[in-house]
Amino acid sequence: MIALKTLNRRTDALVVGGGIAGLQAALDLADQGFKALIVERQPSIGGHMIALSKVFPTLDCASCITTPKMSAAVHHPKIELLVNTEVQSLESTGAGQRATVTRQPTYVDNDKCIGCRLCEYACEVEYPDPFEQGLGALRAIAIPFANAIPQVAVLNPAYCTTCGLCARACPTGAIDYTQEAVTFTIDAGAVILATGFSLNSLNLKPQFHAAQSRNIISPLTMERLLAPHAPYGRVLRPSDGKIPQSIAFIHCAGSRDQTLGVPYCSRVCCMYFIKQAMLLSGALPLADLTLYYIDIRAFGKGYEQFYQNARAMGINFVRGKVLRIEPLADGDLLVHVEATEAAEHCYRKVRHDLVVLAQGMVPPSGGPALVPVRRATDGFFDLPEATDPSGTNLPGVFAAGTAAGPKDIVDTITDAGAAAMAAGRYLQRRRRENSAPVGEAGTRRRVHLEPTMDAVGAN
Amino acid sequence: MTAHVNHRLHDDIRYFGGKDVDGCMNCGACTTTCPLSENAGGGFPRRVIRLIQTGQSDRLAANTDPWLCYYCGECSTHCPRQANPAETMMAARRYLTARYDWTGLARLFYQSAWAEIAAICAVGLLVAGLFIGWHGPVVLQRVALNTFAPVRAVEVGDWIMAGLLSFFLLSNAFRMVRWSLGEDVRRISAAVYWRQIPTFFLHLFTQKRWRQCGSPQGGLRWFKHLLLVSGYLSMLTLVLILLRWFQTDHIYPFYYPQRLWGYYAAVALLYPTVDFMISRWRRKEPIHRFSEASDWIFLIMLFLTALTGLLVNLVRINGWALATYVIYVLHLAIAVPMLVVEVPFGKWSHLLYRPLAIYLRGVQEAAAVERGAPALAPGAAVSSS
Amino acid sequence: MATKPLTTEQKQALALFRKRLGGVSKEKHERLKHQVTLRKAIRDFLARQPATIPEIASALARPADEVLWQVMGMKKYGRVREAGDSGWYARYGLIERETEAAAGEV
Repeated sequence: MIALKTLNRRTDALVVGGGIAGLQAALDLADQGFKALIVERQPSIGGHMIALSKVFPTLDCASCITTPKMSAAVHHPKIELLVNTEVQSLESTGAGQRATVTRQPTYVDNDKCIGCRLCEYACEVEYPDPFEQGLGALRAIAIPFANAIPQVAVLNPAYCTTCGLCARACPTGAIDYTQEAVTFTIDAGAVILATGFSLNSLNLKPQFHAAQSRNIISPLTMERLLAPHAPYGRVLRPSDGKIPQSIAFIHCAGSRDQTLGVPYCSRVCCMYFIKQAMLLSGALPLADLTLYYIDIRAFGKGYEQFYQNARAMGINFVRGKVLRIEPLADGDLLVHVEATEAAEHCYRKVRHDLVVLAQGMVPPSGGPALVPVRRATDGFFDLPEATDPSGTNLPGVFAAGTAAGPKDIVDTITDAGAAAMAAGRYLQRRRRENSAPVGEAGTRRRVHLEPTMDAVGAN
Repeated sequence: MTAHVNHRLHDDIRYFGGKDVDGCMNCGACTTTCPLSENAGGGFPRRVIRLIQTGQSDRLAANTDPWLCYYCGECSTHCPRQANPAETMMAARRYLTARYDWTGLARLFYQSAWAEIAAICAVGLLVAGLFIGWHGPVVLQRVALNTFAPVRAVEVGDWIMAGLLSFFLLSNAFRMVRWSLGEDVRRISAAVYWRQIPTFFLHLFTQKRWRQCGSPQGGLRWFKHLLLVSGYLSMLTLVLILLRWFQTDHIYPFYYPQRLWGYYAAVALLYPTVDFMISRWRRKEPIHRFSEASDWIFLIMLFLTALTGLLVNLVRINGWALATYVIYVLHLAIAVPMLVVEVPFGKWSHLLYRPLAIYLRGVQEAAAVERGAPALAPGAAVSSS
Repeated sequence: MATKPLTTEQKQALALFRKRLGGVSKEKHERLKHQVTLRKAIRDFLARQPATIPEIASALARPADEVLWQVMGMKKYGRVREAGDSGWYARYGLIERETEAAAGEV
């Protein structure tokens, strides 16, 4: 790893994470005239949302909403984007926050790459596509996914056999095998942490036997199966390509469970399962769709109606927590459940082709763990002040979206806007303080601790 | 059917050791985990918790589900709310024991350890007093237990006690039968009652249902418990039916059945009781994680009964006459209150209630089949929706 | 596909890259070899008639999930297409290649 001083840079606001929260926060700040720098550890921005099929409760196409935001961010004159870059540490300097970041090599010169994919077509090595949750294949050098931004190729050294075919195919000489990881610093007036979430493991509950069956899948895998450019082109089950005729959705499989250390509700599973079941009833009109739930938490605007529509469509809702899944020899799965609302025959074993587990939303691993912001008991960033719903315990550091706890997309975007506003206000105040005559700083500071119309309009 | 809501049931269960009923969100995870629920009928064990939460004390009293649980603890291990369903089932068993008992003593003993200890002391002192006042001649030259405590007199006492305790226990069991069968109690034909009787004895002597229980130590625990029961039933046979043969002044050789059987019974009582006490102390197995005073009292009394019984034998063989008489009195002053308190009013009663519950379940199922209705216990419905 | 030979500079860069990776592991080569041979077998099988994933899997004695993944890779990069359904399974058929040379590719 080499450190390049020339890469060090300054910005008004550093946005850590290029998912929907980070993009929204960066756009809101940039539109107010602040310079925003987005650092994203993946090769493309878009986060989890760009991988989703449709969003609830409107059933709008997720990429149709995300792609314009991604595009707007990357083309905004006030926004700079660093992909393949991860924050290593964050420290407070007198003047603001300093982040040390590392950019991983992609072995492609982004300034030269024109996204023609000739390298990808030339490459022979294929590996399970991480964007498709491993369902499809991706070549060792490839554009990460169809609507990735930036549209440049990335070489994965874990699979590359160094045959040189990509360099031979590239018309612009963009392949650069000499790239190395580089570390540099970013000085920012304010930081917005939009580091998102992870899902906990499918294998947390051994009684689910998820490790023994490819047909016990993550909800993100189901999103990919349902996506317009799905890895299989249609909904098939991963064990043998069967068109599933009976699909089970197991709610609360990774949250609201003290034995897993996740006592809280992940907030989005009820609704995305209902959405997935609705989409499946379109994709597979003959299939039986059963949701095994404890309570349906349809709390948002229009959600309850959405749930009622799903019931009216003939989707089965069985109240009971599934705690045992038996994989069968033919790839089918036997779901054990107590149908708690049934008068009799309440202990049931139901056969399904495919089972989706609602994994719990947990804080992501890696980079954000190094950020010295206090965590709440659930592991997400702590937001100590009820009246300052974006502020962390560090002045000038804000959290947006699921980095502070499970949220749906609607709430994430609202939250990101709020964080951008809080960060903007903070930057304004600092500017004013720094430009104030020395003798008056003390008095002015007191005045401007409270937000005023003056501060907002001062830019 | 009208159901009375007893708003104090929930607090009541708390007194019997069910402290986490509040935590339950009725998700049914316990039912799904329970290795016995498939053939225990619907909603086992969740429905018991539901009955408690909704204050349906009469329906709880008529419910025999708690007796079908052997506390492997799987449900408590996997409960997403850590609401401890296994312990709630245990508390429900204590509650049912108290509900069946019409004298109110069981409730008193379960809810106040001091009352139970006082009762034990009172009965113990009464027994000791009887001996102090009316014992036979004390022969010190040799051990003459049958002179000190004539076997015929003791036998009469035995049978009086057995009669009294059986009366209390059976009247309690009658209430259990009456409530759990409800209106059907008269409708079910005598043949059905009769045909299921082997079930009762099968489960009384083998506790074989326990073998399906899920915990890793399940098999071993079943064996230890079976050992305890065999020791207990041996002792019951020896002191009640075979007392004249058992309590002798003649010292038989070691291999003589009278001695061997006695030793077996002593070991079969001592080993499990010591093992259970250690396990309860260390909170090793799920079943032993939570101990109420009543659990300790039962174990300690059972242990002391067996220990003093064994001691009587040892000092007698060694020819220590006075010690034999003293320890004999002590033995009875422990054994009698243990039986008086525990058999009809305490934990001992589960020896009867468990196989009786399985018998009643069998009767209900057989009656349903006779009526042509689907079996009451639905087992697992396998559907391929 | 228009390809040009590597320049000396590119060859040196590639050698350096290979060295930094610690050489190309045997595992990577085995993986690629497996992919090439399995896909050739799938192509040969599908050259006769379109087939479902379980049919291909049993003919080649390979796990169905692995065959599905390989076929989906071939589908994504234009070697295979869907050719109707057979029961609860989709059938896959070869896409005829324009040049002989291309048939030798993965």
